[in-house]
Amino acid sequence: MKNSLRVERAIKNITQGELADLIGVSRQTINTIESNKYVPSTVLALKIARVFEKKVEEIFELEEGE
Amino acid sequence: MTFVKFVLLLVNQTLQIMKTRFLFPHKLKKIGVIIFLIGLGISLISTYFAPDVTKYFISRSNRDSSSLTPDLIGILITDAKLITLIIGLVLISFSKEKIEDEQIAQVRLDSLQWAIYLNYILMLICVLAFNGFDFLAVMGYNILSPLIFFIVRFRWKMHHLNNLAAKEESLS
Repeated sequence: MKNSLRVERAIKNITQGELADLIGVSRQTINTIESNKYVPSTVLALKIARVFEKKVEEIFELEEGE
Repeated sequence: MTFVKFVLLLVNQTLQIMKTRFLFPHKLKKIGVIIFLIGLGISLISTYFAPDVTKYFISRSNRDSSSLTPDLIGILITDAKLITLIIGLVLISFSKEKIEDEQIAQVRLDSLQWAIYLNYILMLICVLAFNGFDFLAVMGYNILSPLIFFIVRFRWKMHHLNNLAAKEESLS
């Protein structure tokens, strides 16, 4: 699964730490999601989408072959 | 059938509670460290007063004797050492992080599995390598080893994740 979290964050001009605070997770978790090392739960993905006022599919998408 | 369903429901609910609540509050971690240090202190003292592990195993049955013999004092000190070390390590292991989230829960679970694997691999080697009272000593250390392996692996992973995030922060 890949995501456009980094881009969305740049558009909204917030840091990983600020995004983490907004959804109540650790900064490390946002960082590993961005670098595709951690796949968030559905709840967390929905919370992230809510911060950017977008649909989950606009931020997270399956990679080819998945 | 209803009974099975009931038991399954009970197990499920317990798992749900465990997922969210079977961790101690974050501030108990510090208390755990203090209790653990007290345990280490007692360990240092006990090298002078208490029997070694094997003697402890053998003489445990004398614990109920009414007179305060040097042997009994040694046993009581070893008891105190084990109790403080175990409580300390459990609190350090299973207190929440400052910010607790799903990834940390995942890392914790992975580390626990890793620690148990490592522990039993070492146990297999020890079964083959040690005999008699040496093996009893191994069993003694085995009281604490899974928790120690867990803590080391968990802290190392968390440290690694912290470093990655810090690097990212300094880039942006």
